[in-house]
Order: sequence, then structure tokens, then C-alpha cells
Amino acid sequence: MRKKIFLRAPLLTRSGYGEQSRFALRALRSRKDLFDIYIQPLQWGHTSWLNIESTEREWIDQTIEKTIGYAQQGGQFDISLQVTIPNEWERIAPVNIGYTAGIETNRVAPQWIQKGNEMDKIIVVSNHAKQVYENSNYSWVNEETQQEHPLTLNNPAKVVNYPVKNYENLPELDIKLDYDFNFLVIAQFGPRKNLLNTIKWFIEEFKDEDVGLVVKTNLAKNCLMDREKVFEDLRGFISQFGEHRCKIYLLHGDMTDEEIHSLYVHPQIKSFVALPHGEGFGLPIYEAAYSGLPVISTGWSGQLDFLVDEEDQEHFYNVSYDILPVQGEVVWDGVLIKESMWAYAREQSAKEKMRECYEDITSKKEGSFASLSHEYAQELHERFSEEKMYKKFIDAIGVDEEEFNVEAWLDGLNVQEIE
Amino acid sequence: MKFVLIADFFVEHILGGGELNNEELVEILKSNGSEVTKTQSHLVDESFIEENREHNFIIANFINLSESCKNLLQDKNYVIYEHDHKYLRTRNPADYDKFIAPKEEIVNYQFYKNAKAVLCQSRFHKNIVEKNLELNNIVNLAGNLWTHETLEFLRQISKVPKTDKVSIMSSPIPHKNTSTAIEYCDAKNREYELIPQLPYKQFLQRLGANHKLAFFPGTPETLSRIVVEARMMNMGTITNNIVGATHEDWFKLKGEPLIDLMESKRTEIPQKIIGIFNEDIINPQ
Repeated sequence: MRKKIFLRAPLLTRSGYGEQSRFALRALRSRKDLFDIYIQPLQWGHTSWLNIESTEREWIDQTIEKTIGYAQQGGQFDISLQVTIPNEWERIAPVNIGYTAGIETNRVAPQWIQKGNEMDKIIVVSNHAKQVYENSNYSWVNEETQQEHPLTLNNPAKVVNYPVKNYENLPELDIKLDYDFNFLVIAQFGPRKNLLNTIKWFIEEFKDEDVGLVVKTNLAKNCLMDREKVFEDLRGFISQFGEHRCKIYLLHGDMTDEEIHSLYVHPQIKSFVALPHGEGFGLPIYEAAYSGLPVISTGWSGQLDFLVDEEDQEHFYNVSYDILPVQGEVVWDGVLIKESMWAYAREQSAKEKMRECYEDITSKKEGSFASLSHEYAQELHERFSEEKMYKKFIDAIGVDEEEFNVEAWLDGLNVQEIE
Repeated sequence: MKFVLIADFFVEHILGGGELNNEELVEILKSNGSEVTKTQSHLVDESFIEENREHNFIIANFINLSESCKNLLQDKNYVIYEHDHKYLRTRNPADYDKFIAPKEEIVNYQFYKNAKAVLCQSRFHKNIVEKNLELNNIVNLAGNLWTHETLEFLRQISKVPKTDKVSIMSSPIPHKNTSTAIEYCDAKNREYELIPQLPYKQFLQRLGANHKLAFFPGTPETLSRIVVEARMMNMGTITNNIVGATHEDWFKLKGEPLIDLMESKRTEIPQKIIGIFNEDIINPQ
């Protein structure tokens, strides 16, 4: 009999967690023989909801209806798969699996360890997340005995990265760029992504050159109000640099996965730059890398899972950094704790690596990361194929396939099919 | 003839299959010149029965009928129009091996025994009732009643081209087992569409847009109107073996031939009931 699995996830949101949820769903759907899927869609912060019509979306909507009906009948689930930050994990089924993007700093909050220990299994998206989760430790005092005990994660976290996406016919984008060489950055307009420094350092480095930086960003949503705010903030920020020849382009609004992937292969976009303080995984960096764009990135946190190969060889322009306490304004009770630290890309290194990448591409330097980026993209496609990643995810859930005898279940239904 | 139809609810209270069927029976009997009084079972008392003692009682669902009224009816002319299995404490024969309940689970036995007939919806339904009550007044009506208008509506839908999807009724009622139908389609990789609860005609239109219906009830269905409606709309069916309609000879029909047959039931079933009261037929099939 198949296991009734309850997927509680921000499945329909435009967010990293939304993408993570859809990957989990696709992996589960790849084994319909093992799982009978039920869905509770969650909100994710202030992010927008998907409004794309597709057969997958239709299936999701039907499954949500099915779940409501089943829950109304008092139906129980065999497994829960909860895709969210660990603070929100709960015991709601005999087997509970927490699936988190993990942490972008060097330390998780104590609540995450407590909640993690309540789960039967934990899946994370990168080795960085696993190491930080498993290595964070605290102590707690038993109020009755006044004895101090260590608080550490008892469940080893399993790492499952994301699969690559393959598109055969990418749409042509109607964007007009003045110069042939443009960097691309895709990041939310928040402190973690270090976007303002990225823009500042780019302008300072390429001030009087025919080079552009395409900034795909938003504050939270893809609506007009959000765009107006971002546009005004950016204009104000850029005005401090006075006259400059280099260009900054703001790209804002809903784009399909296909359109985003078109950006990575746009003939005038030559390199991807990302200088975040930390990433759980770094999906846009990953997409750029497997699309063949040379990547300039801070050499710390989740993105190293794909920017470094299995022989430990780097395949990116590695920006050096300092590990320092997180900024006061990002502290988020129970999630980003004030004692934690993350990476601060060094200004000089960031400028040098952008320049190095630019020179490698314009001079067509052989053996450079840029010249080998397409070759490496192929490697990524093999290493992170959908098939492999789905299998890895199903293995991480850890079902015993011997338990599933679909044929016997179907026999027991005494099905009569009449044309 | 004068009839009194007693039921727990009528269509003005809930829109169940039994209620729709009862309503149509009332309308047909009235159109044939009979006088029919409808009364909810909880409103019936001894004086009502005595006042109507010369009339013909049709007892449909009777959960709210008092024991004293049931006793009083037993020397009157009455038939039980059975819509489930109210001779069982649980009303669900699926609780028992081969659908046969232990004797201590049987209730209302005398009420069933003294009826002029116990009217069942299908051969399958009749067999279960017979196996449990071992009575010889059990009659198979072999069908159900739909309004002429509904049958014409079904006729229109029967001619509409179908998608390759399988329709599944989305029902919160546990024994309708919506989740099993979904699991079945998933396991067999068949694309399906959940049909939500909608106004009746809209529901039929959505249901009949697909080429098959999957339905795996958890308790025996006396007939299953939705399955017959699907057949009338020219659909194939995927069911388990506890759906009454599938045991009828006519179930191999679909589309217009089946609609024509159900149209003929509008004459046949009321005539059979009148015949029973006239004591000229009890002809179990």
C-alpha cells in the first residue's frame, strides 16, 4: 500500500522555498507507486503567488481539494514532509520529515535544534546547511535538577541539492542593452544579498567603460508599487556616483522560469555576479552556472556545492571574504540570531574578480574559468540531473520499497472497468 | 389511489439520491391521478396513521419514525421503499462477512416482514436484504427515477465529445471514498478531474465531459445514481464490485439506449408499486 504523504509547503509562492517545495513535489510525483500525495500550501513571507496555468498547477489544485476532503473525513497521513524553516516543524504524522533550505550564517538558533530533534528525518539543500546545523551547539539547564545538558542535533541531516532544469526553446527576451558586455545579478533587494555593494563596486570598477550590470530584483513582490520603490531607491543610490559611462539596468516583475533562463544565455550577458553574505544553496547562481555563464561569487556557503566539483576544484571567480557578525538589522528572533556570523565579500577582491572575469572574456583567455564555463555546465547537467536528484530525494525520505505492493492493493479493490 | 409517503427528509430538506427518487415517484403518481401526501417521519404520530388507515403508505427512510408508529402500521397497507439497509443496526452490510450480519444485529424485522413489499433498487441490493432477512416480500425495482427533464439533459450531454480524463466525484462523505479513486488513478497513471459539489446540472456537465467515472464506494451502493448517470452520459465506469447498478443486465447499455430504458422506468416502477398495493403482483426478480 502506498504511503499517504502530507506535503506542507509554500508550494505556490515565488520564493526559494517555493522552488524547493516544487522540487520536493516533483520528486514525490516521480514515484506515484510509492506515495499518495496530499498538499497544504503555505504562505511565504510577503512573496507573490504563482499565477501560471499548467498541468502541474491543475494537478496541485486538485490535490489541495482532495486534501481538504480527506482531512474533513478525519483522514490520517503516514508521513509529513514539512518544507519550511525548522521553527515551524511539528509532529503531525507517525513519521515527520523536516526539509529546510537551512541557514545562511554559521550558526542555527537553538529552537532549530529542538525542533530538528522532534523530527524523524531532516533534509537540507547544501553541505553548508548540514554542517552548520550539525555543528551548532548550545546547552540547556534542567530547571528541576539545575543540571546543564548539551543541546545538539541528534538527527543527521541529509543533503539533497536541486536538479538542473532543461528548456528546449527558450523565449527571446525583448530587452535592450547598450553594450555587448553585461554582468547579471539576480537577488532580492535585502541586506543578505549585498546588492548595493555589488552595484557600488561595479560602478567604481567600470565607471568609464562600455559595460553594463543587469539587476533583476524586487523588495518582496513583483508588483508596480514594489518596482517604484526599488527604482527610486536605486536611482537615489546611483546618483552619488556622479557621471559614469557604465550602465545599470533594473529588471523587475514576473518572469517565467523560461524567461529567467533566457537571461542566462542572452548574447549580451556575459557573466553572473553574486556577492551574498550567505546562501542556503543559491539557486540563481546555480542556474547561471549550469546555463554556462561564468560566475563571480563569494567563496563561502551553499553555492560551493556546485561551484566546486567533486574533485574539489573551483569553477568560479572566488571573491575572498571575512567572516563577521551579522548586521543588527537582519537579526530575526529564532532564525537569524545575533551571535551568528556570515561572509562579507572584500571590496578589493570583488573588483579584482569582476575585472579578471571581464578580461578573460574579452581576451578569450584559454583555460580561464570563463572559457571553460560551458564545459563545466555540461558536468553540472550530468551531476545534478533530474533523475539523480529525484532519486536522491526519495532515498533521503527513506521508504522501504518492499512495503509497497501496489498490485496487491489494486487486486483488493476488485476493479470492474466497463467501456 | 391515495398514498402517504413517509420519509426522514424530502428534496426541500436535502438533495440526496433517495430524496430525488422519492420526489419523482410522488410527481408521477400525482400525474397519474393519485393523491399523495408527503410527511416527514418525525411528524408522524398514531393519530395520523389512524386518520390515513385506508390509504397506501410508502415508507422510505424512516429513522425518525417512532416504534409505536411502526407497530401501528403493521396491519395497514404499506411498502418499504428501501434506500439503504435500515434492518441493520449499523445500516452498513459491509461491516459483515459476505454482507450477512449476525442475527443480533438485525432490527425492525417485523416491520419489514409485515410490509406488502420491500422495494429494492437493484438485484445486488435485493440479494443482500434477502440474505439478511430471509423474507419473500422483497422486490427488485431494477432502477431509479429521474425527471423527464433530467433525462433529456443527460441525453444532450451523452452526445458531447469526451476528454481522455477520468471523472472523480469530490465528496466529503467518507464512504464515497474519493481518496481511493484518486489513488487508483495515480497508481494507474490515469489523468483525472475532481468534480466538486456543484448545482445538479453543472455537476452533470462537468462529470460528463470526461470519458470515464472512477468510483469505489466503501459501503454497498443500493444502485448508485451517479454511476447510472455516468452511463447515461455515454461514459465508461471504473468501480468496485459493490455498486448495485453494475449487477443489472441493463448496465451494459449506455447513452441513449439507457436513457430510453430509464424513461420507461418512469412508467414501470410506479405501476409496479400500484400493482403491489392492488395485490396483483409480487414478483421478485
